Amino acid sequence: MMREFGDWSGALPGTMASALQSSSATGEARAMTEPITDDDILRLARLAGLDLPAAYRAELIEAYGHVRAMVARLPGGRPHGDEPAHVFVPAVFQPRRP
Amino acid sequence: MSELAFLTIAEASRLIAGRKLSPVELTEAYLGRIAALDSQLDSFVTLTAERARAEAKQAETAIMSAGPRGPLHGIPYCLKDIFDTAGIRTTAMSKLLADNVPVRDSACQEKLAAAGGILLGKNATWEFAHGGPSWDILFPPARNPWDRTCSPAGSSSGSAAAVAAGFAPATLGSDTGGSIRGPAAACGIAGLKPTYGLVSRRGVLPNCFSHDHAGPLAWTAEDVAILLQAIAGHDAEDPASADVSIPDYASALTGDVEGLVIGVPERWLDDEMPLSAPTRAAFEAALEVFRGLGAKVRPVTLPPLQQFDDCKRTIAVVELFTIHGKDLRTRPELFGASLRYRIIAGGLVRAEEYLLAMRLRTDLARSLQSVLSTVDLLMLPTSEPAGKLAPVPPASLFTRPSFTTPFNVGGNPALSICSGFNDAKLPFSLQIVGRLFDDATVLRAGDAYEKATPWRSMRPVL
Repeated sequence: MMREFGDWSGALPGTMASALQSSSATGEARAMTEPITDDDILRLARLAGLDLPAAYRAELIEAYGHVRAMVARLPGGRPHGDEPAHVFVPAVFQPRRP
Repeated sequence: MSELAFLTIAEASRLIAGRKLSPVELTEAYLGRIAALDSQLDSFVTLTAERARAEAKQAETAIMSAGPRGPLHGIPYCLKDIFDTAGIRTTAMSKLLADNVPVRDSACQEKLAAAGGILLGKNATWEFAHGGPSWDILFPPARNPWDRTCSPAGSSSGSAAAVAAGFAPATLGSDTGGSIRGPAAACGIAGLKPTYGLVSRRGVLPNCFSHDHAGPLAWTAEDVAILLQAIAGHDAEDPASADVSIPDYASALTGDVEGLVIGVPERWLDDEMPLSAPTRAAFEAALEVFRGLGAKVRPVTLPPLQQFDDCKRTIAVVELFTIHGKDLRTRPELFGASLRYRIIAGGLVRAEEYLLAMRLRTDLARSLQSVLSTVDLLMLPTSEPAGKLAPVPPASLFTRPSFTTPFNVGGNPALSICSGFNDAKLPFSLQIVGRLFDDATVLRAGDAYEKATPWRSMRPVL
């Protein structure tokens, strides 16, 4: 089973290591640990345009529990300038020359 | 006929070039085995036998008059059923695409056809290359040729099963979190997730755009290199395609690994997802082979495995929902239960959370490349040997760690090869990971290992 670890970051550059070691108990992730009811989940689903037949609601609620726990572990509290992994590279969309 | 069906691509290619083997004869050998034995494995969902016979005849005529145009000329192959094939249905095993017949070939199919390959058909996959194994979708799941009660893993299940069973010497799969390497490991063959962007995904049904890779599966690393040569290269129609020069992969297979430095992420293997004793022993034996060939082995420290999984899975659930949201809203009953469970909550993830995961990917990818700048390769098992083919709790996608996902997050080339067999005669696997766009060194190491060990002489008996 997975478990927490001590300092694994010795081999990594300092700023990178500190970002990766940010605790999930800080920053944005904290909000995800607060309790949520089944009705809340169904309301969120409706806001996402997902007004599911009753047969699938239990499935959604259970699956969202896993997703929520996963999202809550993502490190938060980042500097403003931290770019996400996807960037727009305009050259990719330049028409090819014949 | 069976002897022909167990030729590697390299062997068959040499015989064809020497006019000692006809593509027609070779194609008939595979079609014969498929007709006789695939009911045991369900590795094909669509067979294109008449087209294959016509292509084989064309190849034979062309080769007789002008010689082969390359090592794949006259070689049969198959494709995971998520690669578009013009005029041939492409279903992703989903009821949602039961009648989907593309009008244009995927870029990979175009390249294999241009190389003179002969399309045998389309292989079973987990639904949309993500949810499975499933018994409530368009076709039954493929089975493992080493033991038909066992899983061939997924999602490129039928692809790996077909190659191991001698139904085809070559196939292409896709890998978003391990879907080439996992089945290659379970079925005891070679499977490469190339560097992200090296092989075009145009015309391949998406699983998760930001982590999807297309790549080859074959019996040996040498054959994988031959296939990669044919399908690698820039494609302006794939926004993630990399415009890089393509080396000669076959000439990189020198057999020489002396001096290579191999890093082993010991903490993953000892603490985070401890290996079973037999798998650990097989892995240590594989490392010993590399030491014997002159490589150096040392431990390395990588970020926690769970961070890679959380990062990739958060991104994936959102991208999957984006792809399938319309169908989830209007006809959820057409999804297999396994896939539906794995994507249904993606619409509830906030944009901010998706971008948190994307920010984490930046860190993880950089840290992986940083560690790989200190060693030539990473090595670890791909997975434990195959388990029984049985329904898997869909929640396991969110809870089960993976040794393959980190290299989708980083985009690094990663090859799975066979590294022996356990007491139940099921394959062990070795995963070899390289620096970005250094797929050649990964293949060189895999080829050297295969040539130094006896495992490529063993085939499953059907």
